[in-house]
Amino acid sequence: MTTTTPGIPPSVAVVAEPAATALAPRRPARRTGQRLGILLYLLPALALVTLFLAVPTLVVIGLSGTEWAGIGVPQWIGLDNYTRLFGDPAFLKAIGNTLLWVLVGVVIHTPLCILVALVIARRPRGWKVFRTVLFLPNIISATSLALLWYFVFHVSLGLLNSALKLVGLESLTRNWLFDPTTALGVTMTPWVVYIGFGMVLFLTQISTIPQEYYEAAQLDGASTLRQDWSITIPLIRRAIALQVLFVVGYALRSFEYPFIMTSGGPADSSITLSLYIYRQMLTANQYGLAMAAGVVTLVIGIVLTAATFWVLRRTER
Amino acid sequence: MKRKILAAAGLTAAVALLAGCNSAVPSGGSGGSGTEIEILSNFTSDVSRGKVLDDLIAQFNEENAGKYTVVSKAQPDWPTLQQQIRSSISAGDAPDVFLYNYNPTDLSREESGQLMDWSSHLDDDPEWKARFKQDNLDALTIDGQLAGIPGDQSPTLFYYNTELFEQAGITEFPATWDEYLAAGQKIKDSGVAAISLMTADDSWHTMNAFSYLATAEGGPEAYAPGTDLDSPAITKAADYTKRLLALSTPDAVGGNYAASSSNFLNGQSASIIDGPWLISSIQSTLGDDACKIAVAAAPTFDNGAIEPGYTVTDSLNVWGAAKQSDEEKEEAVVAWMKFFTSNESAVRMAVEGEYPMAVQTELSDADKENASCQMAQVIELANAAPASIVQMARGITTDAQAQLPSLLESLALGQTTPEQFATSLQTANSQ
Repeated sequence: MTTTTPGIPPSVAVVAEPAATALAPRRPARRTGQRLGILLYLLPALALVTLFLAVPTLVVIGLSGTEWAGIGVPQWIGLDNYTRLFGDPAFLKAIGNTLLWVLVGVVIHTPLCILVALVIARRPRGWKVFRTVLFLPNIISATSLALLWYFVFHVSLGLLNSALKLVGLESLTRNWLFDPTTALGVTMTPWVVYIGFGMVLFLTQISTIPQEYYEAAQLDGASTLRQDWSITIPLIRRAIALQVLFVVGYALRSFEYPFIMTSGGPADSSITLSLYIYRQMLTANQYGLAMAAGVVTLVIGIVLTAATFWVLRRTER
Repeated sequence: MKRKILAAAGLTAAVALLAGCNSAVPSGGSGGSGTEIEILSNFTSDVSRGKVLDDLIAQFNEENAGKYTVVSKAQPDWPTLQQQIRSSISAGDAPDVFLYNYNPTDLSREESGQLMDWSSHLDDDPEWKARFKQDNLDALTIDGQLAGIPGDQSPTLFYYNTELFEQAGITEFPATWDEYLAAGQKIKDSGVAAISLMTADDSWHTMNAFSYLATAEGGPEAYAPGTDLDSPAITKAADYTKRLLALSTPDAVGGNYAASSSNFLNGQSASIIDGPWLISSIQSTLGDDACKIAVAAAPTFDNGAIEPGYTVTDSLNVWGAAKQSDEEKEEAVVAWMKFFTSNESAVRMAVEGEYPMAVQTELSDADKENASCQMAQVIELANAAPASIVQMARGITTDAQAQLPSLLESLALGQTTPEQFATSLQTANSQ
């Protein structure tokens, strides 16, 4: 039987322990050599991260304090861009909508992924087909999917309105994409329902849980629901945290669906931070303002990531 | 061996594919060598003006074989093209020749120091210089340097489906905006939208209507640079635009240019305000029925603010060129532009390319006969226009331009009043 540490998924424990033994220091000279070796291994990645992430981030932060139309020399204006951003209703709307994307991702999308993963993990008839079909949208470009959904919700060409008319519910038809009350929800729909990635993440984690736990629970008379609630979900909480991090990352980058389906409209009702940055940069040529919005997005991302880890640590206590 | 052959074939295909990217015209033509210049525009080979450009380039390359070679690089999406040009200039690598939209409130490209000064070339050839309107040359002269050659300044006019108008009992195109709204209601009652409008991107069709409404109420200076846009003329234009949006197709709010023009071409709306490039689509979509689409000048408010028959135009699109250190390349660029803006080329562009250029264009009677039914009317209306005013969205700040879709959508949805619209527009334009 595999030895596990409470709170740590067995796969992690099994892999981590021998690795720690193999790397255990024996002599100071050898330790120095090992450190140099580690440094050498890390150097290419470190160089790439510095060149393509750290330096551009610093440039973005620097440019966020300037007024720049993309041509010529940027003019330093201090914190004016930030003052302007927080006085712009469209930017505040973009922050609100992006946070709503996060919320929907955590409260609706992630539980859906878990639910389907729990069902498929029990390998019902045809589970492989379901798994493949559910994962399929993840390998199709978001642009194509957004176009597809655009024609689902289109006011006159859309499948949804046609279907409603067909079943005699014409009163429910509406301009889904450009009704301020539905536009945001409509742009989120594809993302919410495409659960393939999260499902595979959870399935992978569930597959590492020893069968003995379930067998023991069954001997104690635990129902399937009880087993999921008391064994599976606690043991996949790290995967849940990882999924939440993916959700936060995706929400902060959410662009294709609102851009293609509604362009952020009507009247900015479905605008997101990414779309706001795009608009300021490519339509208004306000590069400095776009950079400042980028910095705010970065800060929101850091805060949400830290919050996720904080919650995870608390649940592990 | 088999693998090597496959790899070689794959590599050849990839190289051929990459070499073909963006290029509307095979490089070299019959000329094949000499100084090569690249032209960056949105004249793709699948539209009439692109086909004519390809023909003109082939002709130029043949006439200048061994001396100059022109290659066309086409980017169909106008905003992407403009961003591409902007990025190239910013990187200090401006394209040899490129088509861009002149905006008096954003002279960053003209003032970048990267563009060729055309003034001496025009001064050296007074006959060539005389082909351009002095107003346009003055507008493009910044700090004593001529930043580009006027390319086109297309009039936007009402294109309307006479069949749909007649079905609604309207036999003459309305002369005033109030008559137009009344006629529009009749058309809508007959089951067709009165006008194609859209609010996405640059809200082109809607802003054409808005510009006509604003100038009809406030005269030619209604939104001139420096004018306070929180004015009665802008408020009235907003009020009438809202009413027009109510007479438009259900996808007008949020719709883009493609959707709006398709609605007109497919007979789902009875009229549209657009530039002459629409003619190419009218001809190809409607074929033998194309002449049921007539062209008219926009209505006025009959208040004397502006003389009827005036036109609202697109922005002045300009052919800019990179500042050259290579004299031969500069000569090639000038030789091409002289050829391209000659009367012969301009006539071909107008008649075959459905693209009137911003140069003096003298059409012979035969040319007029060869022109499509709409182009003949466009030329007639443009020549008779007592005034031409650039469309409003082309002259406001880029910041205000970016906010236009949202402002128009709020107006259409009743989230803001026409008065609030005017105030918001002024605020956006003064930032």
